[in-house]
Amino acid sequence: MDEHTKSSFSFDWRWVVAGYCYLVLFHMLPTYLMGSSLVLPRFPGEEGAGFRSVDFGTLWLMAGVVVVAFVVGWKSKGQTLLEPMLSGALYALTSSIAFRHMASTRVHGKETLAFVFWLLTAVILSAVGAWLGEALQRRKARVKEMTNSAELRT
Amino acid sequence: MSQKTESVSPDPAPELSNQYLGSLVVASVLVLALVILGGRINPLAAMHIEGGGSMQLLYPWVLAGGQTIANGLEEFSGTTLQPVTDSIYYASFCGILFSGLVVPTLTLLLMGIKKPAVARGVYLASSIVAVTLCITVLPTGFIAYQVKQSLRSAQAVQTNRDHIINELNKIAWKTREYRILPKALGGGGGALAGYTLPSFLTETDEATYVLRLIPELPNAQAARFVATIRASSKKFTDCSVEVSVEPNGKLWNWTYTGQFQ
Repeated sequence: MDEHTKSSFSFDWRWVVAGYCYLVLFHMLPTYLMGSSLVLPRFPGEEGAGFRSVDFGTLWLMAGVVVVAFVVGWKSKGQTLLEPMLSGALYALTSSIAFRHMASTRVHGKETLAFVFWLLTAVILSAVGAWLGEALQRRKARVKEMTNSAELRT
Repeated sequence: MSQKTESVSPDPAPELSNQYLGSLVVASVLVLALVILGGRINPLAAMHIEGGGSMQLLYPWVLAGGQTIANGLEEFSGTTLQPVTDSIYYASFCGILFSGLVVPTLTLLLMGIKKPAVARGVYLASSIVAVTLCITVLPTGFIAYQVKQSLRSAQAVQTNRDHIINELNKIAWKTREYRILPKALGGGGGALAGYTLPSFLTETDEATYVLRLIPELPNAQAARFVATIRASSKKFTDCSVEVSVEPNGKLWNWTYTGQFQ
């Protein structure tokens, strides 16, 4: 088992910072620049919200968090699940503050519920993304090991 | 080297260097400052579009479009057109300056040179903005063009509809005029029988009109309607308006078809 696949628990605060910064840079900034009309998150309690209303905004919001967590899980050595989840939680808090004027016009007094929903969504999506990243990392490591052993045999 | 130092294994280098983390943090702080404080800076705050969410720094033309629509609505409602506020000018200027000049300049200036953490952070943020601009400029330009066309088309349909309504009212008043005039003066003497549309109202630049009289039986109860008018738009062939005329010239039962709906 190499350093990429070791399963012992480790916590690297640097990946929390990096994951959070990635989310701010690659998710919050484009969201902000593209304008909320395109990428506004949808919350429960909002008019027209629900699973029927999965639109570009919702996809962008969710996929962005998954992709960032995926990159962290993939690129970091060892098992990195807790770090992206923490980054996601921090990001949910920050984005709720940053985009509060956007949310408040649509959730109609259910800001707390919207925040809790968004926090849980961000944490769960981060975990999913990081897990997928780890899976890819493990797979690559296995392929590398097999290639190495085949080379040694020859 | 002493024995002590030989026995201690050196710490492995961290996966993420301090310089890399520093540049990430600098870029993130810049982004957070822009996002959180951007709405409090007057020219930037003017970019906040009510109901649409945050300011759209990359799209100064959205502001211009919004102002044009606001002007149109004001003119349509009959109020005097107010001069554009300075903040709109500043906001547009900031948008153009930011997305067209500052961001590309910073990105190109800092590209490919060795730089300290702060400059790397600035470069990171500016390159993300530049990439976002490049990715979004084409679709938004296309959407803007579509919106413009759609607005023009909607405006043309609405104008045609308004003209037709106006002409239908004119026809209705002509029927009333005919109905109340005595027969000796060329009127209907209390009935609409025998009335035909004058040629200048049968076909106008906007539509063609067909008047159908409802026969008024002398012993029957007073009928509610004396005629129906159908207007077929000449500019939008799928559009028409059908309306019933009361004896007093009032119009009821407006039925619109096509884009007039």
